[in-house]
Amino acid sequence: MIEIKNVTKTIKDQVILNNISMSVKKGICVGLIGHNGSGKTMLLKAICGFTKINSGDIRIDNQPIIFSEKYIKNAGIIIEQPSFINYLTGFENLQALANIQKVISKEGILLALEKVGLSEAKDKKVNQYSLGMKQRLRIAQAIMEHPQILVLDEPFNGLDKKSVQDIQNLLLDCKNNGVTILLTSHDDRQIDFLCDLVYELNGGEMIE
Amino acid sequence: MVIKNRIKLYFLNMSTAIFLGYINFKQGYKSIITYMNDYSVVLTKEAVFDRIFVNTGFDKLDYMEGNNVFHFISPFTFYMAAIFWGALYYFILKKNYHQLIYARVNSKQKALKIIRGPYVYNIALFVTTYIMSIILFIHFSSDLDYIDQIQMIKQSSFLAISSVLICVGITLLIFHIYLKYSEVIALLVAFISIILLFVIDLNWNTTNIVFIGDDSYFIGGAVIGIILILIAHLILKNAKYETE
Repeated sequence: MIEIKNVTKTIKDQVILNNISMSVKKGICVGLIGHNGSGKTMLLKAICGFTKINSGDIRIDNQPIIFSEKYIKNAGIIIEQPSFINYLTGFENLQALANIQKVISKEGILLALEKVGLSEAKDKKVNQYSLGMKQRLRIAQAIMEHPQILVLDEPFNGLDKKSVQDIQNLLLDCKNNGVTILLTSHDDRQIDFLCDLVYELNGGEMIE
Repeated sequence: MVIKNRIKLYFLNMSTAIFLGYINFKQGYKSIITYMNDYSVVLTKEAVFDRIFVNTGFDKLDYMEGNNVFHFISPFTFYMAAIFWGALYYFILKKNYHQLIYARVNSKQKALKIIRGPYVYNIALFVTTYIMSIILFIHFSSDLDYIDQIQMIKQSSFLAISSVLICVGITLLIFHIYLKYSEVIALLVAFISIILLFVIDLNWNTTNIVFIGDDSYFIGGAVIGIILILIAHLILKNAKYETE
C-alpha cells in the first residue's frame, strides 16, 4: 500500500506539490492527470525517493521513503523517458539491468522483450531503435523482474495505435496479477481503460 | 556481448596509454638528446625518465633546464587521461539512466557503486600500462646507459601506486561533482585539481606528490591520494542527489 500524507514541495518559492495526500491500495491502478507542469512527474519522483520534499510523509508497505536514502523497493519505473546505453543491444541493456538484482534468467529477459513486441529487434543496438521501440524497451525493463509496483510516467508516449493497445493489455494483465500501478497520461482513453481511481493535479493541488 | 564490449574498452584503454606514453617518451627523449648535443655531455636513461615524469630537483639536475611550464605537459596529460578513464564509465551513462539502477537497489551507496563502475580497475590499467610502456620505450629505444636499472623499476612501481591513489581520489571527487552538476563541470574540477597538486608539489620542497624527486617511495603522493579517497567517500556518503 502506498500512503502519501501532506506532501509539499517547492522550488525557489514556487509550489510544485501543495499538501498532497493520497492512498493507493495494493493491486489497483491509479491515474494521475493534469496539464504540463501540474506536478504529476514530481509526485512520482517523490514517491520513488528521487526528489526532496519540503514536508510530508511517503510510505510504501509502511516503510518510509526518504530522499536519496531509502528508495522505492520492488518497483518498475519509467520517469521522463530514461535513456539506455546506446552502444548495447536491447537485450544487452536489459541483461545489464537484470544483473543488478539477479532475480530473472535470460529466458525472463526474452519473455519481457516478447511481451512488448521487441523479440525480433532484441539484437539491434539501441541507437538504431525508433522512439516507439525505445519506449517499448522502457516498458520491458519495468516489467521484466515482476515488480509489485509500476510507476509509469507517460508510458504510451511515442507508441502507435497497435502498440498502445498491446501495452494497455500488458498493463491490465499486470494489474490482474496484483501489481499496483501509478500512471500518468495525457490521453483519457488509456486512463479510463486501466485506472480504478483517477486524481487530477492542478498547479500542485490534488483533486480526486 | 557485454564482456566483448568490456574487452574492447580495456584494449582501447591500454592503446591510449601506450600511445600517450610513446608521445611523451619521444618528447622527453628528444629533449635529452638535444641537451646532450648542445652541452656535449653524456646522460643516462634515468635522465629521460626524470624528464618525462618531471624530477623537481631543478637546482641539482641541469638537464631538467629549470622550472619550465612546458615540462609539465607530460605529467598533466598522463593524470588527466587516467582520470578520464576512471570517469568514462559514469560519463557514458546518461543521468536519466540512474533511475533504472536506483529502482533495483533501494540504497544510495549500492546504486553509486554500480554507477561508478570499475573505475579503480580502469585507472590502474591505464597508469600501469602507461608507466610500463615508458619504461620499455626507454629500455629499448635509447642508446643511453643505466645508472641503476633496478632503482628505476622500483621508483616507477611506487610512482604507479601513488598515481593510482591520486587519480582514484580525484575521480571519486569529480563523481560527486558530476552527480550534483554535470560532466563538463566535473572535468573542469579535475583539470583544476591537477594544476593545484602541481603547484603544491612545486612549492613543497620536502615531499613529492605528483612529480619525482629524492623520495623514491612516493609517500607524499600516496598519503595525499588516500586523503582524497577518504574525503570523497565521506562526501559521497553524506551528500543527497536528485535523480533525473
